[in-house]
Amino acid sequence: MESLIAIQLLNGVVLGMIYALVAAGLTLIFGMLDIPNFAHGAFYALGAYVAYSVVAHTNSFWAAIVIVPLAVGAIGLAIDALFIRRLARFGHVYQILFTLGLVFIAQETIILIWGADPTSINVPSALDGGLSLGLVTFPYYRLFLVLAAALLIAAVWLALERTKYGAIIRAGIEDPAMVDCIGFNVQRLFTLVFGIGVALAAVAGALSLPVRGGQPAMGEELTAISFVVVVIGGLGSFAGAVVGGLIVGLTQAMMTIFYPSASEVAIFAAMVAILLVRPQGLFGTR
Amino acid sequence: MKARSLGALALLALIVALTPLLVRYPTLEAQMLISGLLALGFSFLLGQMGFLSFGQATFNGIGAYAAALALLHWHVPLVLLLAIGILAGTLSALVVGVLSIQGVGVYAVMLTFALNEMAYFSAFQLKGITGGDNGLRGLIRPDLFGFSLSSSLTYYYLVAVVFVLAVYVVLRIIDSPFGHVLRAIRENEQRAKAIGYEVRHFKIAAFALSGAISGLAGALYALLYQFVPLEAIDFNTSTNIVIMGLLGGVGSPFGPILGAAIYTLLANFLSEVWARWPLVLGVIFCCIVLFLRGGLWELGPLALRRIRHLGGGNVAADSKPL
Amino acid sequence: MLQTRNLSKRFGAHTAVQSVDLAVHEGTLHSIIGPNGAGKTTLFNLLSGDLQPTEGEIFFKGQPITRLDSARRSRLGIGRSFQRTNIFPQLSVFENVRIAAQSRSTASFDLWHPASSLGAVSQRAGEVLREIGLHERAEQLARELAGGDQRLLELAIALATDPVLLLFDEPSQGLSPEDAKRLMARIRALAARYTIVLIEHNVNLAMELSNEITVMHFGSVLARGTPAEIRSHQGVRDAYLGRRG
Repeated sequence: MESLIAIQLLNGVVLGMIYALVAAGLTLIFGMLDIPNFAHGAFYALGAYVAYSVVAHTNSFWAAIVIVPLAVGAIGLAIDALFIRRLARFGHVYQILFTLGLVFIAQETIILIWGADPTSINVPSALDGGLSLGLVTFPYYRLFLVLAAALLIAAVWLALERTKYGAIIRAGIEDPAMVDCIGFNVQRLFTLVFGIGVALAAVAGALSLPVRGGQPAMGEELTAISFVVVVIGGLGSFAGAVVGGLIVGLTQAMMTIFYPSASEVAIFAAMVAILLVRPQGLFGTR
Repeated sequence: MKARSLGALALLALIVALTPLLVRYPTLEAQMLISGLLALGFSFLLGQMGFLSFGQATFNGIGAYAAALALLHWHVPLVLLLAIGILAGTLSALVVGVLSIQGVGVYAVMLTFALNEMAYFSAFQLKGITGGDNGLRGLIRPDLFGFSLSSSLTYYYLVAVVFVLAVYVVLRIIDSPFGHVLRAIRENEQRAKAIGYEVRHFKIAAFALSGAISGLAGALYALLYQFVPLEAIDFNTSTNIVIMGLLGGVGSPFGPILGAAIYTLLANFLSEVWARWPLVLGVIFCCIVLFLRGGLWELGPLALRRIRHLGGGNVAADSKPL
Repeated sequence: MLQTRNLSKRFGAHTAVQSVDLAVHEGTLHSIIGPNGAGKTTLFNLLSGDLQPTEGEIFFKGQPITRLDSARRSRLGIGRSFQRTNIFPQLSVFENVRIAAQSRSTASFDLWHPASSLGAVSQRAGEVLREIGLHERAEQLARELAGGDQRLLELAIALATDPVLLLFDEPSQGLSPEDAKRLMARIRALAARYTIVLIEHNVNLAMELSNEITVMHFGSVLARGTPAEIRSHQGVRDAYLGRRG
């Protein structure tokens, strides 16, 4: 029993960090840009499938980790610049609806290109084996996944908090007209932020592929969960995304031992409770 | 009620009455009408009050389960089954409504979504009551006052009568003082408050009505297939209802009915031609959101205006933002 | 008619309104003036029910209304305008006023009869539109009206709720001089029948229209009196009029 709990704790952390990475992307798009992106999970799925193809062609997992965020992020940039921007003046309703349409398009395109069967890739050979922790062994790849996710989230957070462009973006969110005045194209910066948010979801998809595998509808679950995570953690908060992701991941992993059937109900009940009692989330400020 | 609405309703009734005689797919056609009711319930909230609900399947599912359970366990007569569906839909919508309108903007949308997910996973877990993944089976469609409805064509006509009545009721509500208040809330909630309306009460009442229509649809659905699958309460069903509503247009009650009919046809026929038909649906839907926010129902008046303004006028496809 | 006692509103450390005692008498046009940041708009929002005071009380016709929200205050007979035009843009001009008149009827939860069958309500809406001078535009959509007409419509919406007290928050702000003049003429005409509280930035305009004036400065009442008294008040001159030359 102890070893089972230990295994599930570790699985919960792995799952939680995948959620955190996807949610960090959503916190950029929804929390900062105020675009409720219902297609967020679709970019996660797309990331996994593009990774699958890159590995199939180059035989290199590392190439996939580099190419996936760039390629899928570029798709995100284009979608924002071409469509989502134009819908801003009609309010959230039409942004939600448009991204809902994207979900259908993405899911069917995945089936057209890659087929409907589940896919997976092998763990890169450099990360074979695992770290012995007494009771259990923690596979090196999962350890790498947790660290990589943490590193990526920290990097984006630092870029926003500590760089000139980050400061401009944050100022642009407060007062777009002002930043426009000092000669920055705010719209272009926002589109870049959207692309980075999408790239985070995509790279999370690629990283999770060796562990969780892929299937065309995998994005739906992640959209739902990433909204739960950003609501629990607080919109726009990176710390919130990590803590929220870990809460959800660990809850799911632990519930599979003790009371598997209630885990989803519990997670959405938590979301409802947070929305009603503390809509700014655990770490949100507004 | 305006003469034009009455005329349109009469035409709708005629089409509904004749369709299965001309093209004989009564089960599919009944499905179209039931989906039409669901889309109507959704569009009532979005089109009249400006509230985007992503949880309409909650009311549909609970209505369907309630009617099915009443039939299975107590052999309740058919008319009462429909009433039970309405009642269950209304009550569930009251709960969802009271909670959801606490949220502002996207938060309210997410509350309808999260509550739908809770309802779905609860239904999934409560296998003893709902049958869980297997659905609730073994329903036998009861007679209506001794008149057998076992043929799908006779059942279609029951659905048709209920459907036309429901559309009539909705048309009356839209035209009523209450309906006018809902549109004032849609246009400017703060102003509606400032002229003395208790906006909360109107919103909750609108939810109850939307739930009543959806619960009725759920009961009709359970009796159509003599089976309640888990999909009846699935969030994906809510999504499909949103798509039907927007496809046809939420501005007029006839829009979602058209949208539901088109959606049902595509889902049944296009899917046989091409399994990837949702791709087409997604593209059409995105185009509608971008260019034709009033939905396909707007095409009629738009074409009329273009004819009238032939040569001169600039016809904007922009319809009102919600 | 309307009274406040020791009314204060603090936002964190900042006190926007400080112990304001206001007395608006029946039948007067009472202006509240003051330089930018004097707390006029905060005071207005306290009176309209959009903000809750930190301290103090508000009475309407002797009854405490401090804890009532804007809907309840409206039903008691307090009509109001907004600083930014606040109408129902996609509804017709007539419907904008009709829905306001309907708020006084008990039929708003009637789901069955056509709204047009509420004869008294429609009649009242028609009267108000004629009075305000928008009856010729009744069938237009409200958003299609020019800016000045939208302000008039806003007035009409307030009037249709049969108020006894009207609160106006800088109604002429953002209007062209001609439109402002037209609007002020309407308000002057209304003053014969309603008690009016007017928040106004333009001092001369306020002087011209009002019977009573309260001058706010740094969140407190600096002076109150008739326009003539205010004009000769030394403190007001120093704080406000003097600086404007």
